[in-house]
Amino acid sequence: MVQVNAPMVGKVLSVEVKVGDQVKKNDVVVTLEAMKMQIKVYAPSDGEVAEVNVSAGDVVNTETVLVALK
Amino acid sequence: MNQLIEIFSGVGITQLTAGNIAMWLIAFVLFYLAIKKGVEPLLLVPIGFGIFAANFPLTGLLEEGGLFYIFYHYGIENELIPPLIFLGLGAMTDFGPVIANPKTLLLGAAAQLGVYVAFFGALLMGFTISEAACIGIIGGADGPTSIFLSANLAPHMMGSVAVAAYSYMALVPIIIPPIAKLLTTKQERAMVMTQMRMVSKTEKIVFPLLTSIVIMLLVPKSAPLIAMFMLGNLFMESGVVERLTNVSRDALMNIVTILLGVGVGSTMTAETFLTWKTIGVFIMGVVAFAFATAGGVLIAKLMNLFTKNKVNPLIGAAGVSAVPMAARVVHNLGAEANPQNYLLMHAMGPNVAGVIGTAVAAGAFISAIL
Repeated sequence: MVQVNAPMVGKVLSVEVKVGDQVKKNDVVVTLEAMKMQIKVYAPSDGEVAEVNVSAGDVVNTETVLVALK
Repeated sequence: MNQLIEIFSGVGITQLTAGNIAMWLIAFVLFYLAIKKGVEPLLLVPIGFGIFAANFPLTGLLEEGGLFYIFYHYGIENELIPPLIFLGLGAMTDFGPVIANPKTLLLGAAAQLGVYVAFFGALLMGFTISEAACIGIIGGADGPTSIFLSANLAPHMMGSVAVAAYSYMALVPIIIPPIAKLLTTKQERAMVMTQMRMVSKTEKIVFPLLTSIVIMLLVPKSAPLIAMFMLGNLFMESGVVERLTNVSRDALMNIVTILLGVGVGSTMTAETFLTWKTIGVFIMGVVAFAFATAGGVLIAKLMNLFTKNKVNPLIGAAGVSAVPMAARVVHNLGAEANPQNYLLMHAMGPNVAGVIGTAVAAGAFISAIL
């Protein structure tokens, strides 16, 4: 299982994947907003989305696991 | 007949000069940039209108007791407004990234290289030492500090220095990337930095107090800016004066921005602005910016030779201040080289350290020159 943490404190703008989706390395999984900037969070490896723990509007920090891949 | 001439000489249009009209055109260019292109609109709209209105004959706006004179004399010349802007900036600056990685303070200091390169460059071009200091400070990419220093050292250059500083700040996304890319390899830009540690509330409260002690003891002349910057930050981090925090960064900041913009714009009359010196200010301003970017990147690379926990050299480029735009540009450069690279918060360290660095450089110039 690969956990994808938020790289910084921010607000979730949108979640681009759902459980069961196949993703490739560097596909966008979540878009965050921090410092008035959109930050795209990319999948660190290929895999299937096993968990999605956040939704648009959530405030996240570096300890938040956004999604998990298997 | 004499009466008729007297009446006509009291009508503005008879006294209008070509210089006035040239300044209107400059104001219109600023309006165009602000309104159509979205370049620093909060500043360029009031500055532009200040220029526009100051260049009407016979209004008395700039004479002693006139409205713009009051804005300028009591707000800027007396050094009231730039420190108030710093109060608001302090109340919205998170020093967390600096506290988590204090090395970044050095990168903020390194970017002041541009200030000194432009200072010596301007001296060589024939500017006086006071004027050269004001031109150099443009490289710090900090509007209020540039205005503060010009008010102290070279009030006649304030308008051109402020407009150059704000224009180049808006051009950060164009100025930083080619220089940062030239000085780094793709491999260096792709380097992922280790996750920053969490910073406690106590550390965040101690930081503004400790910084005040160190900086105000070492460079007392930077006190007006640093004291207000740190007070604003203490408001925010203490968490007990939310009303003061909010008024500092919202209402007060907006009010003083109007007075600052109009006041600075009003210094730009045809006689003071339409000179070769203004061209020199703009040329040396971009030199200052370029060397500030290069200074940050090169010192970051130098630092990596001696430290175990290496930094991505790109974050040095964020030392030019221009918060948070420079940090955003750096983040994008890092992500371009490696999508898994999230430099934003790492770049905020040198970015906010750069603001402190520029205020210190301004204080040092004042102590050395006055």
